[in-house]
Amino acid sequence: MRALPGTRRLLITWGVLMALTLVSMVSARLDQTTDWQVLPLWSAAMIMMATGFKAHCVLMVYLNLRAATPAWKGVFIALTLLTLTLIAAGYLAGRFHLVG
Amino acid sequence: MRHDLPNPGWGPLSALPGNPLMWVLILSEMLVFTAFFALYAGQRALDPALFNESQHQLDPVLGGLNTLVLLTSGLFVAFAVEAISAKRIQRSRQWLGAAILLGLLFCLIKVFEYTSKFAAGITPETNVFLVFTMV
Repeated sequence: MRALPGTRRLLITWGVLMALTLVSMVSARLDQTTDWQVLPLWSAAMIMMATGFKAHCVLMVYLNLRAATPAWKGVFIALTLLTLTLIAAGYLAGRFHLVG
Repeated sequence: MRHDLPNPGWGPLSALPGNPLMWVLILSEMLVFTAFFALYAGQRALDPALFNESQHQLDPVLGGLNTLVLLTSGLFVAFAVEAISAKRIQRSRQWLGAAILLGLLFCLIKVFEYTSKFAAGITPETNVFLVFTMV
């Protein structure tokens, strides 16, 4: 069994997660306090990618899933990707009026 | 039975690190949230104008701040696991105590956020978007 991540790896991961959260906050256009608009595609795509990477980091390092078998890693990654795909589908369907 | 696995005797869960029941909880949570987001995506696709309009009723700074708090409390719990695996019980308790304090901070931020929302007349009953984001 692979060992626990260790303090250094945990701290690096935490730094990356914090930075990506700040990027997501900026990408969500927090500066627009008076003129709110629909989130542009590039901004939504950036948030989705950052979120997917963050979920991967939390699973693999914080929860030490990297010590599990490839099958279990695949289950959790697939579930994360499915969730992100559903969110992206809802966003795109609404944006391009594909439903209703 | 393979004894090189982290949790021999737990069937398929035996290949997962740590307590297998924790993974049952994590997998259950993920499945619930996947279903939740499927419902959210469907509702958003049906009424994107309402969802876009309602987004400005959220406080993204407080939401982002709470994410930072959760990421840090998760780090502290991971530190606690590292400490207990090195038989440093007192240090592990300290990290868990710090994580609990951040959990309380998370709740305080939520109370502050919701109090201001309720004062402005915004509740989960206002519209379907706020049901998803506030409940």
